[in-house]
Amino acid sequence: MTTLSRKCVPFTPFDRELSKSTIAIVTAGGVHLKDQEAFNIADELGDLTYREILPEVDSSQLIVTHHHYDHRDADEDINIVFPIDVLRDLESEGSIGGIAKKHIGYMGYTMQLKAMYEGTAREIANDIDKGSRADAVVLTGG
Amino acid sequence: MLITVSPEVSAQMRPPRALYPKGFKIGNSLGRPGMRELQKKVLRDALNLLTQNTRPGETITIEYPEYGEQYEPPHVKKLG
Repeated sequence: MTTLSRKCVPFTPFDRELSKSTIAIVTAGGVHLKDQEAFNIADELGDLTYREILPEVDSSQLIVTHHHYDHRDADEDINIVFPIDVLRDLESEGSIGGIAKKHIGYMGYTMQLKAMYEGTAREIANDIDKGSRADAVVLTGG
Repeated sequence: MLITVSPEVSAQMRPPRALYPKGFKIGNSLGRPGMRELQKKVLRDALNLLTQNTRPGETITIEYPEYGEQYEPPHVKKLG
């Protein structure tokens, strides 16, 4: 795997048309399905795991487990941190080509920065790269 | 591309493209609950960064008056 300097900006030119592009969502906002294991907020070091979310997900089945931001608004409308229904709207109106086959939620708080940077972040990138068929990724925090 | 409500903090991670919807509070990356038209506008603006000639690492700030009350983003503490 290529190792990038932490000082470089990993900028990839984008030469596709948006209307033909497939988009994935990766959120650090602690989003996951109700029936998936919740993130471990009891561990003061943070939780390095992540959850895969499929494109046909019913957004009412998504919840937030994260104790480092006020997610009451997201509890009311998950789209403000995980805009899956908004993506569907943009697909319907033809602004984007499609919705990726895989999306990711993780808890963007950790005291284990090295493990997050060298482990979880790379695993998420590889998972999205190989499994989602996304042309671009929308990243959101809390 | 990143949608950030903490532009100083997120800039430290050097995202290739980033949108800061000015004055949105933490937890409201795409706006307030139920404001679907605003959410669509923010997401469209973020996606459009892909096809615009942005400078790598630059955060683009856009104002959305319909969001209403504005919030100050967290700032990075400077050492020394």
